[in-house]
Amino acid sequence: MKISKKTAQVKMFETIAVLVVFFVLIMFGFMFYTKIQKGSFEEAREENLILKAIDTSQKISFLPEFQCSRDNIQEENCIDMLKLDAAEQVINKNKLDYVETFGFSRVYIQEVYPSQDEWNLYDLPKQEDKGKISTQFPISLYNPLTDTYSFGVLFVDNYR
Amino acid sequence: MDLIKKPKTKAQFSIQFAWIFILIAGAIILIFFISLVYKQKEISEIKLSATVLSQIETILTGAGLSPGTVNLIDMPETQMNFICDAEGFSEFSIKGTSLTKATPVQVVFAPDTVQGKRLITWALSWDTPFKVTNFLYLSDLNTKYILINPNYEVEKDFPEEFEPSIKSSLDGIQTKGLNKIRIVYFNSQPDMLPEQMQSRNLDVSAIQVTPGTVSFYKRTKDRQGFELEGSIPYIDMPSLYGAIFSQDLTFYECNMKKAFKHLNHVSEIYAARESSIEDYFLTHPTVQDCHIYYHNKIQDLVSDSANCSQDIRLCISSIDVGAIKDNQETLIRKSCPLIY
Repeated sequence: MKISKKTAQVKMFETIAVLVVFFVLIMFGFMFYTKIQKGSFEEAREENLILKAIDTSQKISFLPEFQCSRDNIQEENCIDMLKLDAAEQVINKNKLDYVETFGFSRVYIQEVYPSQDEWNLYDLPKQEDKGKISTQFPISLYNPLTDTYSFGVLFVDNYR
Repeated sequence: MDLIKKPKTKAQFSIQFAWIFILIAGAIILIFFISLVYKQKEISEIKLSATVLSQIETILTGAGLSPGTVNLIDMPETQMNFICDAEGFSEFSIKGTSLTKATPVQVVFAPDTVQGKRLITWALSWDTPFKVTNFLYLSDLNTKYILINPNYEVEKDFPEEFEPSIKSSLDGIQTKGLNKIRIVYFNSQPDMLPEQMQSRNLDVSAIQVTPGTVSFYKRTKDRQGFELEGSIPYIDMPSLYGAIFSQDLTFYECNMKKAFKHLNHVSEIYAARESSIEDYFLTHPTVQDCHIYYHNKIQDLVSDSANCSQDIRLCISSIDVGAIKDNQETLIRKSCPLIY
């Protein structure tokens, strides 16, 4: 009777051990899956930040605050330099109204040729500094006073 | 005899115990996997709603960038809710989810709910007199627009995609399959409603358009007629269309305030630009004496638009773009750099 009791106990422990191993394997599988998901989420987030930068640059190209126009006919892919001078102040004075457009980013334009002017249009960093993704776009800058065009670069730094 | 009984009882006991153990362990395993499946289902639904919301936002942004165009957008059967209230809070959301997208800047004129498999968007450029923003008008195929004796301009410009009914009275209007009806009276008072428009399940509203003013009406409690909600001025055709597509007076006013706020920023930039041009020509005189033709009329627009963004009823009649347009025409004739 003692032997059969022990046999029964061993059988019981065997079953419990199988279940424990089973759940441990499930747990490992789940942890592995979560780690993979986390990795792909991070990748998607980075991709979204770059897409957001492209989205911001497109918006800037079409905003009446920056876009070149002649008698209210909009010129594509052109930014008016005199508007930039004024927009610097107007946007920084009304930053809250542009948060939805630019988000947590720094937007600035550098003239590359023939001069080297710079305009800081918008800057709203996050409280925690986790770095940023910087994207650059070539743009055409128009000076209505001299009726001439220059080359410039639009920088959009999206804060992570 | 006892020896024979004991093993039998023991065997029965151990088998029963084994089965109980199997049931408990099996139940735990099943509960674990079922809860995992439900959690994944929840996550997938949230992910799908977020994707739909993001795509709708992209569609709306794209539609808003193409003024003068009408788009018919096929989408999953969804109901979108639009809010723009008296405090300036503005967002849209998808019914049945907690996902929302704030629209503090976009000017979107829409009913409070837009549903179905097809979304109709129409964008118009709002110029006062320079381009300020694009107005976006939204609707669906379950909303009917009835224009009573419209003027030629509205009759010509109102897009066919919205399937408007242009009539002289409400007789013979079919309401089958409709969720909302908007009746637009041009220079006439709202009528009593025919029986088919008195249904509790139908959202019927009206506006009356007179030169310079639009009056919003809502259905009376007995659903037989209309009572006045309020009147508000409008300054041009894009804002009149905004009144036609807006759910009610509050929605319209909220969106117009957003528009005037944007006008304030853009006109400030143009005013500073004009000053820069004038200062330049003061120090760099030209044969045409360009500097004498810059009169800074945009400065009035800056202050008027600032007032309008707070309360549009008080200031809208003071918005005058004629002087700016005249100034522009003078500069064109003199071949001087233009104001806009």
